[in-house]
Amino acid sequence: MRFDARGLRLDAHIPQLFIIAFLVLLAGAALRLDSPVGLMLGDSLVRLGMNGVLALSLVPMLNVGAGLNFGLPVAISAGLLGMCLAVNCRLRGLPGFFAAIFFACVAGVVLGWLYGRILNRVKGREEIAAAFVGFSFISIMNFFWATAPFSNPAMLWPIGGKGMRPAIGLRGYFAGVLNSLGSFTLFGVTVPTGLLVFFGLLCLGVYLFFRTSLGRAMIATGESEPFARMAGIRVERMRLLGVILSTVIGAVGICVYAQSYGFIELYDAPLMMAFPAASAVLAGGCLGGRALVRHVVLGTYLFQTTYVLSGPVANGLMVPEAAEIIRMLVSNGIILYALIYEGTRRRKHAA
Amino acid sequence: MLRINDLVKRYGAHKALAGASLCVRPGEIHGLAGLNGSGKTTLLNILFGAIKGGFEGEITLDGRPYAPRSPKEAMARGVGMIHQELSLFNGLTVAENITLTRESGHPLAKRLVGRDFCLERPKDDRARARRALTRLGLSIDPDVPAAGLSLGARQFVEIAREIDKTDLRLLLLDEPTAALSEGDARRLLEVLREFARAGVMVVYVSHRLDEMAALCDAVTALRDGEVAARFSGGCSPEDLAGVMAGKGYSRIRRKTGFASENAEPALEFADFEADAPGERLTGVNLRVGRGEIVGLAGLSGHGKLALAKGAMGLCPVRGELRLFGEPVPAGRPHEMLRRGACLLPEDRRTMGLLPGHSVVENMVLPAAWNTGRFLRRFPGAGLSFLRRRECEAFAEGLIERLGIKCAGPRQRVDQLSGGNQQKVAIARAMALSPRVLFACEPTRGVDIAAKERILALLLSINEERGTSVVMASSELEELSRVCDRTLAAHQGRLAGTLQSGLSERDFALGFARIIEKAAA
Repeated sequence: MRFDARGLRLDAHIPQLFIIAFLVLLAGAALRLDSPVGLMLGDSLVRLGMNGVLALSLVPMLNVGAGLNFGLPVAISAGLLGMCLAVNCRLRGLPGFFAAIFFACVAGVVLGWLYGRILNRVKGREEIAAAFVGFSFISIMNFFWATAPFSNPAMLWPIGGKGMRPAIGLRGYFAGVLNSLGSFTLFGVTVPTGLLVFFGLLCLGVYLFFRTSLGRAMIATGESEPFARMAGIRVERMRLLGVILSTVIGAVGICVYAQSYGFIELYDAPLMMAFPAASAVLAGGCLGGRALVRHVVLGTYLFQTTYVLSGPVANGLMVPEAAEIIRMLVSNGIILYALIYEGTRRRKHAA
Repeated sequence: MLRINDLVKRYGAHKALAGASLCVRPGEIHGLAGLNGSGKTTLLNILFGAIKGGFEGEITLDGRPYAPRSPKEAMARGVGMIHQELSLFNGLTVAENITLTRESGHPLAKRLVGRDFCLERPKDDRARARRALTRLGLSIDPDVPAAGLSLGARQFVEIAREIDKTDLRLLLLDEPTAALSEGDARRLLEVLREFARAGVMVVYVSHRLDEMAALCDAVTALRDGEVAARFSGGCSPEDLAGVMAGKGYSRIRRKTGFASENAEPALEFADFEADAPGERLTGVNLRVGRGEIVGLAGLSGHGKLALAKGAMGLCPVRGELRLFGEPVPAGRPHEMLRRGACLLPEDRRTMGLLPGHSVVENMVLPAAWNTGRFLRRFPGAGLSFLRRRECEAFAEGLIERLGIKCAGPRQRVDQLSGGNQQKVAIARAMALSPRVLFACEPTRGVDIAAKERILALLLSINEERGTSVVMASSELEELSRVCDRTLAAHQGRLAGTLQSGLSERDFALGFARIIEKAAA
């Protein structure tokens, strides 16, 4: 029994069907080229888990009407700070990972509150303002990383012993703790159980949150502020809460990403990280209006898998350098296609 | 001469128009009457080229076949339309809105580079705009932006835009007076008569039957997409009402002596002042008793809607307001809601509804958020889930009781017609079980059957729960039937009181006298 107005309709997901068809084609080509398909499938699952949380973090802000969170670097900085604190305290393994997440959440709440206050002042132009907040925040953090009084030599420049390294290896701390937790191999595909379960739990949490009265109030705010205000919902507060929530989930997201990647990347590394996350949500079918967990999971998987498959196939069929070009073409082309498709559909609908 | 023969328009299996025919002579004002969903707006949209996907049947305009595929084509044949939903550009000034796409240009430049690229002459545009506004008897400054105008003024600017067209042959009006007060409406009708005298054909759609009976040379009544009756040369509002509604139509009236202002006060305003966008109300000293229904009458823009917005904390206020004896902090709608006050806004499309949500969500969400009704209470108030069964049962009950036409509680609310949307908004208020209800233009843009139902509902909310109602309306006729007493707002002040128990005619006369005295 569906309660909400929006159901799952096939005709609303034609771009996704196209992307899936394209994926099948790619997979077929990969098989013919004797690429290690099992390995690539396992890789796509890992990429789903490590990028999924970052994409999921866009949902609260989208739903509360604050647009795509192009200020994701703020959330990522909070997460990086959390991980650095955990590494500085020499916390290892799963406890180290969860300590990092705890610190990241605390930093996320503080930074999210500040960031939300800014976004409440630029109502209507959140996306572009968020992008600039993100860019300028990177510079502030660069200054911080260069001068922060961390003491674990594993994180500092080897010469001089001052300032953070651009990339901090997590081996010996919590690299891969989620990926390897309960992982098993089936038909040559290694399934990162812990990572997927963690991602799944977060998705479930977000899904359930938006069924609560608070979550519904946030969605109402996103859809119509005059209505929300008249219905006794404090609009500014809801928006602030949405931004904080997005920032906290984003901070957790980069922790998940980093443990899978094996490195904490500081300085300019987070600069462009908002774009793949935003692309994934768009490719999943969230175009205007409410963002659903379904969009995040589907979009991230499709986006990341095309990314994984298109490289080797292009390498096999064309010159080796083609891989990167084809990858960019495919992944960005998908977004453009999804946007154009939705735009056309909406115009037809309006007429 | 406009001739329409056997017009059919299908939406899937549903026929919005099922073989309607009519004929309008030059200089004739032709009325189209009918309940919501009877096909009036569809017919107008076909004539204005605003409907895609074609239609069956034939139309001729001035002897030539006419089948516009876009509003542009329609305008090229001299057809103009004034819409039910206002369509002004907020960022442009009044003059720019009126002359848009028909701006005056330097004659020489026009010849050299063509209309699209020649320099504009804003001075001429302003003069034209002022001329059009003066013809409507309006003193709006053409240089002010459209954004700040009241709803009534916006409607007039839209009409001025059509008046400014010199080659107008056929003017289509969809509920032009819905947003206007009676005085403004009279002024508009006068202008329409002038048009007709100049040979323009006018097709006029309205829910105000007395207006239609007085204005139109001929009336066609539609029911379910077919012509139910034709009247030419005079008909009474009662005739029309009977044909439109079919059967079982009666006008409700408040039982007199039900409540009085001497009852324990629910609302007390002292030197209250509200500054709503487009209208202000100052110097309000008013007591509303428990269980009382107080009406607010007045021309548009004179402040009758400001009281409710100010009291609910939706616009800046000054002075004191007490709700059940307790002072209320200004600017806090949630406080008012939690203490049992509730607003039914006049602008239901932007404020009264969540268009992308279902009927049931629109009905229950504010109640769940403010009072905790329909919630499972776990683990905290904010994080509780809704009790879906209870919500759906509630929605189904009200859909039946209010006669809301919809596919079910889970249909999206923006797919419903205007009258049904208003009923959903009332259901939302009922879910909150308010002790004080502010209703702003509760029957705007709905047909007579829905109007009676809505008024009956307001009365039953009041009688069952002892809810005090403050009802602002442009229709004196409905205020006289429903309210215990009615206050007349004029130029931002409450100018006088009309008691209940008067006949509709005396009521209207009394109102006119109050306005005259206040203006003097």
